Amino acid sequence: MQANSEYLTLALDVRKVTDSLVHLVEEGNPSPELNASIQQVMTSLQGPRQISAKSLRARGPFGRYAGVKAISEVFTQQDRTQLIGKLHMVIQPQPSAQRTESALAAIEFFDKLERRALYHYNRARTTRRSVSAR
Amino acid sequence: MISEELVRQEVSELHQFIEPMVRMCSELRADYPVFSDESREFFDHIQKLGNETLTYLLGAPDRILKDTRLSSTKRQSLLDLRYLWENLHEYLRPALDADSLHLPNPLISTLHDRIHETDEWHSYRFTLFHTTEANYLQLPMGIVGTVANDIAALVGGKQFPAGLGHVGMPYSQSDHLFMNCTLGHEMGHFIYQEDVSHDAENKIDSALERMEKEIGELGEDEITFCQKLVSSWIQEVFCDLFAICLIGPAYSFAYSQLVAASMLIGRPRGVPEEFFRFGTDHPADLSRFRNHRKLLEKLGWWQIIRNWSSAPVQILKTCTSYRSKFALEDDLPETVSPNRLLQCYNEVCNWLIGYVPRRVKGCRDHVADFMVQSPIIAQYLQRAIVPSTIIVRRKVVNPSPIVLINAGYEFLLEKLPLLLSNIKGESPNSIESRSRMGTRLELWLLKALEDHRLLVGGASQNGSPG
Repeated sequence: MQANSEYLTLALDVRKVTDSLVHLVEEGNPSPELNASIQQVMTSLQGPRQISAKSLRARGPFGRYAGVKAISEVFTQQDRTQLIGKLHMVIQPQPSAQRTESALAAIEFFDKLERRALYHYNRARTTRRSVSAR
Repeated sequence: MISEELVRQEVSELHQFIEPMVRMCSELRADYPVFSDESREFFDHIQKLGNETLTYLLGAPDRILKDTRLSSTKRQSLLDLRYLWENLHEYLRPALDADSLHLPNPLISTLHDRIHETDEWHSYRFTLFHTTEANYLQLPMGIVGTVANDIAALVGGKQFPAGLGHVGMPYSQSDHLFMNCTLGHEMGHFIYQEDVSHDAENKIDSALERMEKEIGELGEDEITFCQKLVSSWIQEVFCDLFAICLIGPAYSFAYSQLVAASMLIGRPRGVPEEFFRFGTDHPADLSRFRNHRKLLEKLGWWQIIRNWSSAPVQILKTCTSYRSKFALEDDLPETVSPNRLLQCYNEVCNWLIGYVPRRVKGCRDHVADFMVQSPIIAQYLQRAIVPSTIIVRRKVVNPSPIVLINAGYEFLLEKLPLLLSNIKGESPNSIESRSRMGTRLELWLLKALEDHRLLVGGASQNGSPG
């Protein structure tokens, strides 16, 4: 894979979170990996701030350059606050209907992030092709 | 509301895209073309993964349409699957083209043997693919296993065989030995990702944190950008040093020829600035040569080669003395100066100079033999004799592959005219002669590598006189 593959990797990591949320909606109970992945995302959504290189790395895909960049492109501060709220509702004990509703709302946000990651991946591939075609 | 027809159409299109790739793998004949065991393993896995994906797709429309609230996101996951298979598509045909008749097999076996000397890497093996890209530096890194495992995660398929790497080479270069020494670097990418990245990332992060303490804290986007740049450069330097530990200075010579570094010589008005530029993915060539030289000094090779007159050695000799400054292609965050970021890079490079030889077993084993055997091998080569078996101090010796490769390279760089003068009809001044006999020299050496496996076995036997 080329250097731009980090965006494809990001899209797939977003998809893993989405699939955990889909599981919650369909089965009514969280998958084992749901909480950990949502915690990583929530830390990344808290907005631009100073943080050490090592703790960024610990956030996994969302703490890498592609993740930080895509999140800042796709989400406004208001979106971030809203999504964090929805994710809190998902991981905290709630009545089933509220939890499902929050999960569905969060899925929409993640779909948007995944599409942006795929867009960057595709754009980099196209650029590579047009450069080599010159 | 999404129509059922639309979903079925989307899924069918993806099915149609993947199915021919599965067929290409399943219709391979057992007798011809002949592939290495590693390539067969790769094709078998792609076939299995393809069938798992096709089965998954058969049920996809029902899964997508089952709950309309989730239809949209489930449809979107088909895009991930498509891009991943497009990624595999890039490798499949090139891997099918690289049958064993079109590969420098003795060199590949030598590289495998050297890697297997390190216990932790004993299970690593590589399948090669051919590419239309002529420049080895532009080859995709071949992280096929990651792509395959991402597909497996989406479709519930089996994991890619552990330890199987994928390395590319220009399709026209299968008869060559010297430039293919860069395959060691390509294999290094796999080793880095499998076994080294964690250690290296720790060092990179520590260096960046020291920088932040000096210049003030950076934002997330700024620090991740610096991480990305330094990580890319460090991976390249690791792969260079890994290749030198694997096969000695031959790698540095090949790299020098690959980037046409001889252009640095004979430039009284200044050297080309491109050699000082750090790109997004690659460090500056001159910085790479400086690291090559440091490692060659550490391993004991430098003391033997430093008086050679050929261009690759002259470049290693002078690479620390140029006055031009290193420059970066990318714009850094305002508060980070290029020099400070390069300091981080240099700190990690210095760590690699100690780290890589500790990880790669046997990287000093051939230096002493080379010193004794190389002049004798040259005597054989200048008489057009394949040096599989030579006489050293009245004893029969089979030089090790690493000695053969480096002695052969020395002969090419320093002594080829001796051979040309001994061959009827050839002339040291003729380009055709040099090209023809250079190729012939590579074939003799590949033959000697092959003979070594027959006569001695794997690379664990170093061919020292008893």
